[in-house]
Amino acid sequence: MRILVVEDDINLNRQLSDALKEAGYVVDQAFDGEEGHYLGDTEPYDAVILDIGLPVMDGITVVEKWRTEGKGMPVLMLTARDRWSDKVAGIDAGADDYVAKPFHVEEVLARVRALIRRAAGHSSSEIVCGPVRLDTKASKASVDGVILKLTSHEFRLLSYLMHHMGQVVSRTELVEHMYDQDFDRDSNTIEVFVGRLRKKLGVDLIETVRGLGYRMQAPTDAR
Amino acid sequence: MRPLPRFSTIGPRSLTARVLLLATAWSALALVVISIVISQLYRQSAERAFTDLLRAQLYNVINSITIGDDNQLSGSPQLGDLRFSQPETGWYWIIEPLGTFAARPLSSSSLGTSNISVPSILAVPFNNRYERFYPATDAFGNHVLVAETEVVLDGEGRAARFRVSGNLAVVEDDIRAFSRNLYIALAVFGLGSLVVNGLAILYGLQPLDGARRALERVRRGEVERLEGEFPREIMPLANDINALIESNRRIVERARMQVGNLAHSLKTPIAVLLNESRTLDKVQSDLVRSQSEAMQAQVQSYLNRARIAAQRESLLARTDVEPVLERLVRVMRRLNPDKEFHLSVFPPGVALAMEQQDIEETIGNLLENAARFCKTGVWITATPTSGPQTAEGEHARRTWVEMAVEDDGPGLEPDQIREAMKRGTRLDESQPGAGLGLSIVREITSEYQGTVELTRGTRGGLRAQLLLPGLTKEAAA
Repeated sequence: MRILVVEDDINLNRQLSDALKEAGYVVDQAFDGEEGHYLGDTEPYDAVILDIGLPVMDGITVVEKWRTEGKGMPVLMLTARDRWSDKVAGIDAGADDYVAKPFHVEEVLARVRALIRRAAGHSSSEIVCGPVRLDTKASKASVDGVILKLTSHEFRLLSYLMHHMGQVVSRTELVEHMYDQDFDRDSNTIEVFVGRLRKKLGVDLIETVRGLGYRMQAPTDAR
Repeated sequence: MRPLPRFSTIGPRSLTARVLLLATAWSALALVVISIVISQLYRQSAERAFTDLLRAQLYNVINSITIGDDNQLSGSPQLGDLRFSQPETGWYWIIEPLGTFAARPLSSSSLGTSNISVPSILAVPFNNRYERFYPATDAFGNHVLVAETEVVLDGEGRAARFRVSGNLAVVEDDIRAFSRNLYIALAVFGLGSLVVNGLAILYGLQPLDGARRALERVRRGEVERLEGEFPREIMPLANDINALIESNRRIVERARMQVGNLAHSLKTPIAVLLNESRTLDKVQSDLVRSQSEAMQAQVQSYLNRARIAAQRESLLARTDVEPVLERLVRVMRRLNPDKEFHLSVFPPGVALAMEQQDIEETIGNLLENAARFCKTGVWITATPTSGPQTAEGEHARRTWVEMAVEDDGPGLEPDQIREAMKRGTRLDESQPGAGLGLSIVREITSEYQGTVELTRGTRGGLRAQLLLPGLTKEAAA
């Protein structure tokens, strides 16, 4: 899962990014509205954390522009102006949720998880695919109740596939959502990760769709 | 700050009463002086006419008297006045020979056998026409005025004293009758003036009353500025008041902006400190975290105070309820796509005498709480109602709006409700939030003299019921 953090305060941006990385997300950082808007416009993100009071271009304008341009990724607004009129303005502009400053990073993480889940159509914090359970809150996966030992890349891969259960996900898409913008992208590594993940899961839930990518489905749905 | 100039405490405190008192006092004084002057002038005129009448009668008598062949005074004056013939009237004529001229004196029949005493020349000298006038009392007690002259009647130098008297009661009666009529006329005029003065003052001061009522409408939040036509004298005052209202509005706006800026500038560093503490060891982390949270609470508390102070300065507010609630509900649906929000505003066009931001803050916080705890949905209603039972005077007269936010969640027990209304209390630690919601609702509501009540709703959940100052549709238009 790839997240964009747009926050002009260097320390806060670093703290959020570190916490998100720690939770298994891939993070890109932007420090002003223009840079943030550009990244959101050109890179596929699963969620954006966007401060309202940004230099060059404010957060409200950024999210408005994204929505006008047809960008639908979930946006979590950070606002110091915690009056309802500010919240309403943010949501009306197209944001999906807001967190008032000062906040605990855990709260932001919870909101981000909920937004990503909601965007993928899942209402619970636990996503189930046959015997496999993904606990988005604890960043853990298990098969038949046994916790899996996954590397961060393997967890990201599993998480992305489970969030998009039943959909064909291309290798490029996986690369885009598993690595940040500075990573030297080589889609061959994805095949290696998929192989390892299949092995660790022990059940064949990840289907290779020739020429298109991968699809994860519960056994009863598998064709 | 300079003290306000004191309204003079001498006399009544009402402008109308003051002007009326002065106008009445002046009118009364003027009428008294005028009545005295007119009475005096009339007296002088009446006395002069009386003297002239006596003089004319005196010469009539002189012209009708000669010395007869018998060396006696002869003639019978015809003065055309019955009072010279009737007895004891005070109207007499008397002719008495002077010096060596020995003749019988003549007198009118009204005098009978009596006479009127003659004062000495020294006491009452003759004037340049050789006449003299003096008051006297006749034998019957009448006060009379006597006109007297001495005339030589023939070439031999025989002379006689001619006197004609008139009853002074005639003059006095005339003056008394005139004065009575004068006083009645002036009294009627005075009373009329009083009424006209009163009406003129009321009419003249009417624009002041109009300005007062216009200002009251501004204070009640029914209009934003003084409106209406004012006379030239009051127009500058009305303009100044409007300028003051405008300046007040700008101050509030500026205060709001500064509060927002302050919030932004302080909250980000606090967030950094709060989260940086995670990287420290437990003792240090706990210390930094608790201090950061204390700072956060302080900042929030001062921001709320500044907000409420800014709101207190705001005289004017009117906000249509429905669009505001629709906006809030739209936001809540976006934030909680799995919950239902039911909005009912009846009748349409209900307006509150509140700032839009304060309505958003109040209802927004209640909606946030309701959405957090509800099972399936939240119900919001707004409808006009009668005022709080404790309302007095102005508050009892104005329109009120009952707004309710109700959910179908677990609700609260009575002691939990009491606890919930305290500042910063959080009943559910598992849910995110600063816990300031309900106390902010209570503070804003009380700033507008409204009330907030938490009860168990018909759906089993919490029902937050607010009574807020409303505006009639005409006032809001």
